[in-house]
Amino acid sequence: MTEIMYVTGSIVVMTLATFLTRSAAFFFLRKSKSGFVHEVGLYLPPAVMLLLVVYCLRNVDFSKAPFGLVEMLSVVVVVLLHLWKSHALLSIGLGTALYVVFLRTDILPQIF
Amino acid sequence: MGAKPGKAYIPTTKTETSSAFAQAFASSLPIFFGYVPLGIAYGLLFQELGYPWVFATLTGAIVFAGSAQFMSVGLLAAKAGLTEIFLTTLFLNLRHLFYGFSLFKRYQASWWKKLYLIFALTDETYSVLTSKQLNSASEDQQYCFFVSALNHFYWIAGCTIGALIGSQLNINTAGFDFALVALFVVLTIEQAKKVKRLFPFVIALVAWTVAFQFPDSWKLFLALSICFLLISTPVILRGVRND
Repeated sequence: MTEIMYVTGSIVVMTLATFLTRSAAFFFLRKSKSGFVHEVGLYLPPAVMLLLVVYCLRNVDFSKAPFGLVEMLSVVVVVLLHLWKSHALLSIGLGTALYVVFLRTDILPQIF
Repeated sequence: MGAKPGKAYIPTTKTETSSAFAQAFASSLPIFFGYVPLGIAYGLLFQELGYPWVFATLTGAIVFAGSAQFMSVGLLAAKAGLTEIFLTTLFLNLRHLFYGFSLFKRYQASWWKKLYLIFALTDETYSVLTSKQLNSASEDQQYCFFVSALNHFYWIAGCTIGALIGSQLNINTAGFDFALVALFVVLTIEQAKKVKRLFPFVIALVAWTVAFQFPDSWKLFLALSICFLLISTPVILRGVRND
């Protein structure tokens, strides 16, 4: 198989797998049990969102320096900023900027 | 402000004079700041594989799945078989199975629009759409479509730019992908404000504690399945008791 065929094939199978998962719910819900779908649709998103946060940070090593402080502090900043101003761009932008600074410089070990 | 029993309460905006597109643009702007840097990071990584840059664009446009695309870079580098790539992508994206539950009613546009909406249902699009719904159904459908399309565009742009400039410049993107974490944190807070209940988050942490014990490719799907079970079981039981 040539290189181009291989990478093209990978795109095809990835698209298939992805579309399968995204469309599955829509096939199962042809006859919608209204109340059930609504309640689950209401309470599943918040659980999923928190899950995705934890999932993105799953590889953080809390047992070695800097003990996940970089991530945790940045998350705390995002939370506080968002509770205060409720401005998504501000919270995300500042939080990320802080994370990048912490990550690339030695500020944290010097504070703690 | 409270949920009517048995009816999902998705907050609707009171008097919005701005168009569906304008609102979609505003809602997707945080995604812009997540997708473009992340897409660039993917493009840079992809470019190291040695394939023509246009394949990064194609992947971003046709697959449109961030975490799966990142995983695929490692798989392609190791020349993994297509079956393995298929299965890995399937498991990683199994969480999307549950997204249809929340958006099923709203995705009722013409068949080709509905197809595109389903195709473009990423985590971030799901997060944005479940936090806001427009008053009129037709406006809301436009809103959903524009949010999806804009996010798609940002992602394609990021992947393309990354692959194109990757070979030319040496940009340090270390830490940029934290934008995605920040985004999910913000969306979690938004959901907390709408739902005003603690139990979905407790369920999420319980689910993760269990799922964390398993191999990496299983973690997310398991955690989501447990969440789904824990949330839907009381609903079912309540329905059974009321019969």
